Amino acid sequence: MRIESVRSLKEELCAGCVDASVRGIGAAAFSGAVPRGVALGLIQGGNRSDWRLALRLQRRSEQTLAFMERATSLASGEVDARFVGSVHGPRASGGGVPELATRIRPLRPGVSIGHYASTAGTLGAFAYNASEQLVIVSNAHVLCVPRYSMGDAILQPGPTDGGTARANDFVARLSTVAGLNADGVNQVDAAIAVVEPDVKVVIEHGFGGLRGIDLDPASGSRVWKVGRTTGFTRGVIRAVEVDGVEVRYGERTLVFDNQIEIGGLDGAFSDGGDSGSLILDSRGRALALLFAGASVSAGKAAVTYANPISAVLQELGVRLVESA
Amino acid sequence: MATLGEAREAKSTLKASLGKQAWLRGIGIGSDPSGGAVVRVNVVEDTDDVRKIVPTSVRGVAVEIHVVGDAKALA
Repeated sequence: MRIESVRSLKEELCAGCVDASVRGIGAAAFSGAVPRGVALGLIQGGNRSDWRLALRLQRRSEQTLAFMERATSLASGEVDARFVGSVHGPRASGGGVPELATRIRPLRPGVSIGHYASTAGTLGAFAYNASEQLVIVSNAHVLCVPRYSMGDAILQPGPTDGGTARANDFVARLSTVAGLNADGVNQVDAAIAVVEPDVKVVIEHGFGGLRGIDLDPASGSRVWKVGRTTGFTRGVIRAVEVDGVEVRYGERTLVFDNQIEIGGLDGAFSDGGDSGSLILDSRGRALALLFAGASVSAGKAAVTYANPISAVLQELGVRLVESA
Repeated sequence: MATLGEAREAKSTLKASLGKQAWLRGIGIGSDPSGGAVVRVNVVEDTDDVRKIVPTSVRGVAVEIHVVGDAKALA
C-alpha cells in the first residue's frame, strides 16, 4: 500500500471509525477504538514505496484477536501482525521471551540468569577456568550486585523471572569479576560463576553452535545473539574500537574504551535483560559480550554496546567451551 | 578510501583534540558503503555546536556524526 493509505487506515482504526463493521464480524465485546493490548504503526514492506499496517499484540483476548482480524480485512491482508507480549523499560522485568525467562534445565546459553540479589540478565556462554572448572560467562552487573561476595549464589532464572535461592534455581557460585571500575576507564563488564556439580548444561548456542573466536571483528559484519528478553536477533557492527562510551548503571556512570557498537537489522538488537548475551558472527564465531544499549527515542536508532570477547576471556582467565 | 590503520590514527588525533565534551558519547571506527574506514563520532544530540567542533575529515579520513543518545546497562 502507499504510505498515505496506511496512515489513513491507521487513523480510522484509532478513531474507532470502523467500529460498526468490527462488531459485524462477531466481536461482541469490541466497543470502539483500538482495544487495550494492541499497538498500531506503519512498517515498510518489500520495497521503499510499499507500506503495511504494523499491528502489535501485547495480549491475546477476544477483543484483540477480533480487532486483528478486522484490521487485516480492511488492509486487504497487507498487515504485519505480531504478538510481542508485555513491553517494558530498560531494566529487566517479567516480560522476557517466555521460553528463556523461565526455569530451564539443562542450562544453556541465552536463558535468564542473575545474582540472587539482582534482577535478571542472560547466560552468555560456558567456559573453563584455569582450574578446568566449568563456568558461566555473563556481565559483572548480571552476576554481581554492588556489595557482593565471592561464592554468592547465581540463580536460573534470575530473581526478576521468579528464581529463588531456596528452590532448585541455585545453579552456580560467583567466582571472578572484571571491570566496573568507577575511577578509571573500563574495557569489560564481565564475570564468571562456577557451575554447581549437579547442574547439567547444553553448550549449543541455538543456531549451529559456537565455533571459535573472531579476534578482529570488522565494521559492517553481520552478527546475531540469543538473549533473555529479545531472544534471537540479528544485527550489523556499526563501529569498532569505540572509546569514551559512557554507560549508566543506576546512579553511577562508567566509561568504557575499545567497545563494539551494533545496530539491529530487524528492529532493536537488544533490550533490558539481554545483558550478558554472547554475540556471534555468521560463521558461529564468538566476538563480543553484550552489556549496554542506547536509543534516541523509543523504536528509533537503537544501538547496542558489547565488549570484545578476546578482552573478556583475557580479563577472566577462561577459554570458551566450543561445540563438538 | 581510508584504511583501518589510517582511521585509527585519525581517531586518535580527533579524540585528543576533542577532549571531554558534554555531548560526546564515544569515538570509534566505522565503514562507508564502499568498505572504506571512517571515524565515527557518537553524540547525544546533533547541534550547531557539534557541527562547529567536529570536522568533516581528519588526516584525509571522513568523520561521521551519529546521534546515539545515552547508554545504560541492560540488566
